[in-house]
Amino acid sequence: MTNAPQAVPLDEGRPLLVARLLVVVMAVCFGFTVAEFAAWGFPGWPSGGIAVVCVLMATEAALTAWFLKERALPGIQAFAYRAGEWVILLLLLKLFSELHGGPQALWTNIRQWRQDFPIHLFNRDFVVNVLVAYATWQTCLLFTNTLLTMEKTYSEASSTVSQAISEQNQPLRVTLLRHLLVSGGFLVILGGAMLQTALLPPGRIVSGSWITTLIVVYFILGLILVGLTNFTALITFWRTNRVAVQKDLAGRWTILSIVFLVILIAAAVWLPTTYELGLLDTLGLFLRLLFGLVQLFYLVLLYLLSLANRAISSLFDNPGEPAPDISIIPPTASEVLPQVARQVTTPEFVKSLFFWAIFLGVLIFAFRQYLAANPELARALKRVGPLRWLGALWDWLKEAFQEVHQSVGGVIRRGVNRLRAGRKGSRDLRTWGYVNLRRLTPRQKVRFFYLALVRRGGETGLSRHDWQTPSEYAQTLESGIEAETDTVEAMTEAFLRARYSREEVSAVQARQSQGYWERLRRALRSWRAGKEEE
Amino acid sequence: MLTELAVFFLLLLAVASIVDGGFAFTILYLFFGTALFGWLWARQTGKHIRFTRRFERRAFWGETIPVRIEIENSGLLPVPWLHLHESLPVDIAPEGPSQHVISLGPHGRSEVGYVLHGRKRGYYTIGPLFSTFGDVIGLARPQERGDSPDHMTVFPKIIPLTSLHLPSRSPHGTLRHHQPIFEDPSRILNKRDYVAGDSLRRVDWKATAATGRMQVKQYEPSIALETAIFLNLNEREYASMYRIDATELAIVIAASIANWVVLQKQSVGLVTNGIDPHLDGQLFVPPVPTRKGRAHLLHLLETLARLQPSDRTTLVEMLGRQSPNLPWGTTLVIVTGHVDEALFDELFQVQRRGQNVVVVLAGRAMNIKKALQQAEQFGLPMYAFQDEKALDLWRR
Repeated sequence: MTNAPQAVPLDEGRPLLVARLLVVVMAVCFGFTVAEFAAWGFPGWPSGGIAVVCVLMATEAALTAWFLKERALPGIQAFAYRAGEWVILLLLLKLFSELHGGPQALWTNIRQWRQDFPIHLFNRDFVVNVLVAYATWQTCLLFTNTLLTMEKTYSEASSTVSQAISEQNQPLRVTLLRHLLVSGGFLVILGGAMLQTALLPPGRIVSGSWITTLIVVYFILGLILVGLTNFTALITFWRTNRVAVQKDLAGRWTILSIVFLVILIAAAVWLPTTYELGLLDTLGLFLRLLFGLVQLFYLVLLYLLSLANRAISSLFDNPGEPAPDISIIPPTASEVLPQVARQVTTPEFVKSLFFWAIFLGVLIFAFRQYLAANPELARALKRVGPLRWLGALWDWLKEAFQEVHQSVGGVIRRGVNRLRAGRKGSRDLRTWGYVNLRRLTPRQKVRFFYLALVRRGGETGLSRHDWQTPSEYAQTLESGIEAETDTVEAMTEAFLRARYSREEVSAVQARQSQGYWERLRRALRSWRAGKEEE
Repeated sequence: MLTELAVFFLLLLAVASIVDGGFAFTILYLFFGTALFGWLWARQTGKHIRFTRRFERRAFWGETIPVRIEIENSGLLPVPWLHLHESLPVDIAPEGPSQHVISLGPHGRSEVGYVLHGRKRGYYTIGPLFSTFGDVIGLARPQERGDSPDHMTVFPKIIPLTSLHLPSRSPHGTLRHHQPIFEDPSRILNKRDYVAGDSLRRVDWKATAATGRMQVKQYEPSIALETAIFLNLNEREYASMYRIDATELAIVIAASIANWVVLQKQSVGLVTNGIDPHLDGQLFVPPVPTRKGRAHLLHLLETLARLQPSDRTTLVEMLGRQSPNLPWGTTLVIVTGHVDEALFDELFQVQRRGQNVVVVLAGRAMNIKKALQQAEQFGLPMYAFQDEKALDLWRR
């Protein structure tokens, strides 16, 4: 199906709006996790209603950030605005903290301010509430500010066509990802601490699944946010460069993103997070399994050979005398696998294998990235003797593998080509005096029609002499069928191009040649009829 | 971006190792998977995308050339976005966008296009086609691919001439002539009564028998016009201020004359001292021998389309080397931007060899009047055209 792109103006405002909403939800997740940590760290802290506080704080942060950006207030005014905002927020949070115990508790607390103001004003519940609220607020503000900077960059890029938006956008996306990873890393540490049973006071139970769900959701939303900003950056770049964008691109992008994330989440949930076997055990088992498979293959081969050998020997031996029994029964997998394999089930082994493969993969990836970021260290490491030998060994292995790959690939390719050539040869019907036009390439078709013209010309009386070039023969034809001079020349030109040039001959050109040939055939027929009448 | 990710992965591994943090592995899988599959996705896209560019490889001046690019994804994975950027020469660049973004499904096909404008003659490289593609999340870096370019020829502008008169001394052709010396016995014009002095070879015996009076055949004089265009593209032989315009005008004149000669069903060839970028390393463009027909005209136009001025050979050197190879009676049309004594001497020698010469001065040259006077002295027909509009002289 063809779907030609049109110059559709894609609006990056909508994805950015969705991104802002995502940021609010992420900040709420962040706040919830911090609240859980507070409840874990401060037993007795009343956490009721903190969810509402988190939602309100995140929304407030998003709205005020947008408001300040719109107003573009100077530094002092913005500071004053923020100070006033926080005074009000603190008052509201104080009210929220004290109203847990009812209005009477609030009144009691206010009366205590006279005796020891700081201690009673900043009591534990209030401070914890402020910490949770601030964490939510700050997270939301961090992401929202980055998004607003992106919006500003994009709107400026809209009016400056030549601006290299991609270069400007990349650091912003890196900043966004850095915020996500830093804040997320903080959550992972908090979550890890909370799930550590050794740290729990006796008798306390923490809902691990709730906390991990919160953290995982935070990261999933973060990934969606990164994807959205990627889309926004690209469409802005395309718009500023006046690129024609396919009409349904945004829709397809959304569907693919959803499918991609669903598959990824399913895979992440399904993949093992613990291991049954240690690294060395898994590696040992894996190598033994490989060895066992090779051994199994060898035995099967040997068994087949022995069967063939017995069949051949039965032809020469005395039929009355039974052939010696040399059959080899292939061993079962359980015989090949070592003892350790019997202690772990196959799913456990597979899970461990996956786990360690990913573990090592991540380590290698991280190490490579670190070396890529520090080229001097990489160079210094290359100078260390054992590492240099290891590097040389790795290079040798890589080259050897590439050589094997190329030679095997070459053998297969040559074999396939030979088979194809054989098939083509068997299909070549020219030996039967028959040419299937549909199987000819456009170049062959052009040549075929020209040769048909030469043959028909000879039959009609305008035969081609051996010494005549195509151009000279064209003159002979033109002398006969004067009305079709242009057609003869076009046909000759097409033939010359197909026969002597390396230019590509298209199917359209082949069809044109067919048209010329049919026209000339009619002309030759009428010319001959005229001659016969004379 | 990848460095940040690497640090984050190490943190996750540390958390998972120290505390009972299976969820850290889940997050690790999410991000590692996104980066890894994003990279693999883009890699697979690069392997399975095929492009086919379809367009007419030859175009006349002023024509529009639609170019279609067919894109095929032979892989099982969809292509979320594919940015196509065609590198195009400015002289024939399209007015609309030449960059496109598409999305393709598994085994999907799409087509994009743009229209080139044959604003200037030349041999152009269309492409290479640069394509950028990536995944949807964007953790992995987008990948780029450049596909091989194609070539296109825009023929020079052809001005249809109607009243061009080129001298010829080649008898027995297809062009009428007024001098009886060129009478063609195969072209009987009329019959008349015999008068004393008529050759007996001219007597039409059948007509004589039918009419009862001696009848003789009258033949039509005819000539064959075999033309060789000598196009001087030595840039030092054009006024430096108008060099570009003058050489282009010279090529337009050469193309127009060649077109006129072919329309008259006569043969035409081309000799030039310009360079053809298509012929790498060759010092001279090989002379195009005189031939008839439209196919030959296209060959000539293609050569003219590719020609570029050079400073290797002078017109006089070119004439001295090539004109002796031409047959007697050939008409040499010299298209140049400059004439001098040496050239007139050479042209005089050419005339003495029995070849005809017409000189066409293209562009703004110094002392045109003097040159015309000199040409007249040598008995050479000479025309001077300062611009294309001046060619109306041959269109009346």
